[in-house]
Amino acid sequence: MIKSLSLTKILRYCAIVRSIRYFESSSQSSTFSPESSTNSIPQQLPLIVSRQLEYPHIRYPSLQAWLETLGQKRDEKLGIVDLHPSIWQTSPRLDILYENIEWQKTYKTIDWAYTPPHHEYPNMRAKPWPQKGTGRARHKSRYGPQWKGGYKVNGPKGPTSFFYVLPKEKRIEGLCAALTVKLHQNDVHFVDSFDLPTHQPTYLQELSEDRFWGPSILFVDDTDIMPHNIMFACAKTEGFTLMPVYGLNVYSILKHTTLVLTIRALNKIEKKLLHALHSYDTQKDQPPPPPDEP
Amino acid sequence: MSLVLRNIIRRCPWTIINKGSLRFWSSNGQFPSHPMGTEEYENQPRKSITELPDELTEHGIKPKFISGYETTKDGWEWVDNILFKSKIPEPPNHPTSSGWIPPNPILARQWPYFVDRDRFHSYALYVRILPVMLEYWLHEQHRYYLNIFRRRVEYDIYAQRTRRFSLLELISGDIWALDHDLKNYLTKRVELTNDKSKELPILSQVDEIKQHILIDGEYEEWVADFLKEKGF
Repeated sequence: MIKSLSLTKILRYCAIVRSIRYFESSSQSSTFSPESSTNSIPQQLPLIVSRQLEYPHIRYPSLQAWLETLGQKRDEKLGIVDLHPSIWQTSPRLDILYENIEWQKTYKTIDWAYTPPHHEYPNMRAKPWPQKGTGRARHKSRYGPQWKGGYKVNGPKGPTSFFYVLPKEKRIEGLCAALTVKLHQNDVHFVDSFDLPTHQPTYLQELSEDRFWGPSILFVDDTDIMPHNIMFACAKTEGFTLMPVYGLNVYSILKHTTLVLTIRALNKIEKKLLHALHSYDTQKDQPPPPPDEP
Repeated sequence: MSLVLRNIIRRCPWTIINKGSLRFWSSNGQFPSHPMGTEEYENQPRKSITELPDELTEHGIKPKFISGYETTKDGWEWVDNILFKSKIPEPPNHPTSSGWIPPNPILARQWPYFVDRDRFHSYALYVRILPVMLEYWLHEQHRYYLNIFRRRVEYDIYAQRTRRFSLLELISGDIWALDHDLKNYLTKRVELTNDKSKELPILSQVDEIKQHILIDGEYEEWVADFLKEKGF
């Protein structure tokens, strides 16, 4: 049971916007699957949505966050979600976040600068004026490096790529650090699903304004096929982006002010990250490639 | 798998997929590309070398006699021990004969700091080595250094050895309290020995962003004893 919380306090609190609170959980009282609470909001609120966490931490118990809905404008909480401390309570490693962001920026860049060398210039043999007699400096050709419009000796040559792959452990640690930073700054919200009642973008905009969900929101679902309503609303709104779990990256998490995750996305993220954090060899431990793709 | 196939699989009932009435063509046009790996192929009874045709054996030589053998499924554990596994097994809850001690969560909760174990359930203690340039001139032999941070470096230069540090990682909580306790413990431990390094101070560097402590000197065993005392 939740300490120091009664039903009246909860109903009063639901009217307050921007609410995340973390309690130390002593025991899980009721087991309720989150899938059943998608379409209908049951009478008995709040529900404790208990999740079995793998690799429990020795020292820190699981964190807790509210479970909200997008199905209605009124900010009613459906329940409480448990979060794993290894992902959501790590140290905010600024150096690792910096490395991840720099990697994401530079590994795609190609420098197209090219200065042609002397053998690609025309007519190098022609002497502009005789060696002696004229009062001018002695020159061999009109295209020397000291001339205007002349060749460059050690200039940039051709497209250079800045491709490199950051080690997998750093990328994993970067994701965990970004998620902790977002959570502890009250910018993460957990939602049962992305089913909206209307396709009007004003619905989602007004909902996010009422709940103070920042100008830019990153909606994350477990698959890349989203319901039509949210797809239409996000396409018409500047700053709202839809993303599947496999597209999650440190740059996007930190660029958008708020992060909205579904329960299914949270399950997938935690499963993948915990497996990576506790695996024997991250380089060898790859999922088998699908037969269709190379 | 491609998006199209993933959708088909999602929307089809499982009976159709299992019966195989839907065939998914791969990019090279063959399905499956090789029977190896399918259940029918793998579950066939294996042939012995004597039954194979001449072309498949080496140099056309077939062994005419093979000693009798017996197939058993016992002893799989000896094979399983050698195979690569991505999952790290859980350690026992008691100290082992190799000297490994499990963490004590009740004792570990008392302190304002916490040192976690790595994924292999060992301490995050590492050695860091730096090369030392010989800056040892005759006319500088009788220098006297008031700066305590330089004394250890000069001692290492005099002894002509590399600089060695011990690094402790995976720290959470009050790092400065841990640093203070560590230094006290190490100074006490050093006084018990008859080492010349007693005269030198125990210096440490605390990095709050990376959450680690770097100690000047090779004190790894003593730091491990300190962690065992605290129950980490």
